[in-house]
Amino acid sequence: MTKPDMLDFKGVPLEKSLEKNLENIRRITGKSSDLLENPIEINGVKCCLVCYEGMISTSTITELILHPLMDIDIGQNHAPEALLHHVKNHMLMTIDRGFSEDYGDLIRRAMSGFAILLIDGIAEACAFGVQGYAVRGIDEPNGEGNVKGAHEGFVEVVRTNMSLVRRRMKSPLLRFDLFPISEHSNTDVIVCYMADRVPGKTVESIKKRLKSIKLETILGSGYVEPFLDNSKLSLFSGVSVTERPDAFCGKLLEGRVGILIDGTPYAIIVPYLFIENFQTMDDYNMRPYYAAFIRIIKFAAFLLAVFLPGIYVAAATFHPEMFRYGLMLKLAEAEKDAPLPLMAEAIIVLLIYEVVREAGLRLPKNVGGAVSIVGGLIIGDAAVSGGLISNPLLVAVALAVTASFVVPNLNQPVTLLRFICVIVGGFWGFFGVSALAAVVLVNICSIESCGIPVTAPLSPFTLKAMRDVFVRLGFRTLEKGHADIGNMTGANYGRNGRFDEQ
Amino acid sequence: MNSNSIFGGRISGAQTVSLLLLCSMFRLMTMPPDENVGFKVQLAAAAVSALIQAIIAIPLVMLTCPESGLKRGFWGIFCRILYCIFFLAIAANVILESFGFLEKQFYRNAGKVGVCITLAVLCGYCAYLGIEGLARSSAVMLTVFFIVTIALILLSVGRSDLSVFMDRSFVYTGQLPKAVYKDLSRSGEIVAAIFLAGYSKENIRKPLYTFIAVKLIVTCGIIFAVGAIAGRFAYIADFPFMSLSDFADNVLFGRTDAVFMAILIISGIISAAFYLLIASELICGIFDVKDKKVLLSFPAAAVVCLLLTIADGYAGILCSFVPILLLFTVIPLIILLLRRRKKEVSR
Repeated sequence: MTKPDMLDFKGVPLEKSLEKNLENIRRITGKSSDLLENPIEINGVKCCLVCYEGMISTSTITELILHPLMDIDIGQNHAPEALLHHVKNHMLMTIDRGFSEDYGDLIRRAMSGFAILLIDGIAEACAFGVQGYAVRGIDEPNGEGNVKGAHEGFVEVVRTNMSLVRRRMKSPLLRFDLFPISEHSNTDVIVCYMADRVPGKTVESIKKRLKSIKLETILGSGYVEPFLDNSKLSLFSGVSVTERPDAFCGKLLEGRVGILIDGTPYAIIVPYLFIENFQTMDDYNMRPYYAAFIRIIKFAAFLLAVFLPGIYVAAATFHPEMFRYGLMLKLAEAEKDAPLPLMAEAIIVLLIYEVVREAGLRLPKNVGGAVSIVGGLIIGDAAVSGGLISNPLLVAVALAVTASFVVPNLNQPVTLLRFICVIVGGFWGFFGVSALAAVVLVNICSIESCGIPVTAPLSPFTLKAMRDVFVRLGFRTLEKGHADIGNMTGANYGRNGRFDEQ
Repeated sequence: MNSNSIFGGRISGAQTVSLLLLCSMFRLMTMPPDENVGFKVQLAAAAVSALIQAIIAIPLVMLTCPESGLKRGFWGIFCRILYCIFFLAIAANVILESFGFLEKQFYRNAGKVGVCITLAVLCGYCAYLGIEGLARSSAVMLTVFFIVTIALILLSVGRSDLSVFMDRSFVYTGQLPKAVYKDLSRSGEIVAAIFLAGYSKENIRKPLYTFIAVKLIVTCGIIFAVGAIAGRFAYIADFPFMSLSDFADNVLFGRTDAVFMAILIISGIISAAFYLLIASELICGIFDVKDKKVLLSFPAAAVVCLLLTIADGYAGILCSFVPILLLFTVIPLIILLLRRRKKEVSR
């Protein structure tokens, strides 16, 4: 029989001999210091309890596993098969249990916080879920705060996240499919979907893509997203992430597929429409008129964030006639002593902002304030006072970067586009900005996610879905027919497997 | 370009209309003035032109899968070459008109080759993204176009003067046929309907006639607005449509010319990209190439388009009314007659 080693053990069946099994496990794991082996004799049969230190709860294993095992009494029958039969059929011990027949499954369960019971004479191991590793408590998500909505966010443990979703959607149509992916990390992922809203083909396509990932380890959602995204060369994506269980559930109800990944609090949602970058859970907790107002503010903020510095540079350099006379005089007065061309000034200010922002992210909290003082007051104020940068440009850039935080999901493409817009505006004026806008527009319009155009329901236009785009109509209107993503105009949701074709 | 299009993609009837309409609106925006033709004559010319387009479209709408009639034989390839040259010429014309607009209005010293290369590359990239991206973006852009146009008209309505339409001093001396010919020569986008039939999810008849009808309404509306607001100034302005922005009063901007330019450039890029896409499909059909080699067709189409932009004047001749009539009516009519004859013979 093939002897398993640390590189090749998946699919290798267990031995009947306890000693050989233990020897193989030690060979596979290299006698790792956190591997615990507890040999015991149960009803005259030699057994061994194997687990990983730190992955199990000692109180749980003592109460639920050790004591019941020690109390097993099956009479005069000392056969290992009888012991296994008794454990399988007459003892519950833990809710989460399984049975492994190969080393791959055994090692994976052991590393997932299961206690493995090996019985001498049986080529099968019993696995009992007694997880007790340290986890972060459920907290409010950092990047997706809100005022009136729930303050719970996903955590790093996928099963906890599963419970957060189930608690909100007590429907038998909500399905979870759990399986491991990646060669070395064997990361658990759960594909979540509503069985009556998502075509089976789409779910199977997504699972197929996940299982085909050849990465050695999955340490975050960013590792998985590219494999689900069809927009390879685009700045924008048809895949999104969220930390919020309530937002996640809302998307599942609209017919999307959600993916929970062990080890990261960010859940992936696919397909994801461009317009959803402007929707937040708070919109649904406000009055419709205010929600509509905030939505329009967000759209305007997005355009400001991308185009304002570029348009300012283009207009001031090539098209000053755009400004009203009084404003033009003020701008000219402010710019006349600036030593650098306007485009260079704008790029320098944007770069300084990016450096300060990145520094603020990486620094410990107790020195973060110092960064704000250095970046904001010293650099900003000193640069303006010294005449290196003009005030109007600083206002335009500051407004643009502040506006970009209104739509945090689009922060990455907005940042890059802002730079490009300034450069093309500085070289070619409004022609450059217009050409950039055309290319970005066609680029976004060409992206599809799971057969759904990401510009839906704007283009292709779906009237019913527009109830929740620029405005958010009241729930008395929204309750008349749910907005299923598969029913949108131009949607090809799993009907002919187009997700695979791309 | 049929259901087995090399580039794939399906678009709806509404997207077909919006794509054709956007191409048409671009030509309207870059329409040169003609001081010999009164506004009433222009309105009449638009109506007559629409009627003629509706009539010459009859052979096409009677055909199903018209482009599949261009088989791999000598005549099929010859026709593909004709269509390819036409679409490259019209794409070149769009790029030339965009450059002409930029040069006359904003950038007097702009380098022709540099601007045309930039536009050709951008159009080639947009074409590469596929018909669906172009169709959806045309719908968005058309909405923006209508909003901006209505806003410009409303901002200028205080300066309107309808006396230009009641000008009894204007003497009609037979300008109508010339005006109709000029309008038809600037309607090359209807030839694209032949190939949009392959992308469209439905029969081309309804979208095509919807396009002709909407185009007539919008054209007449804009001519009326230009006449009422700009009046005789439109006769001497380089771009009469743009003259609306000259008269628009608003509290935000001093002038709105640059806004008009943005709309024009974006519309031009989408239009030219659309024509390049069809030209690339035809090139692939001529040389019978598929898959990765298809990618080569876009730069090739862009290069040829660029050469035509440099050879100024020829592009305009190649996409005038006579070639339009040949490609839009005569060839489909021949295909229709050949199919009917084949059907009769097979009986």
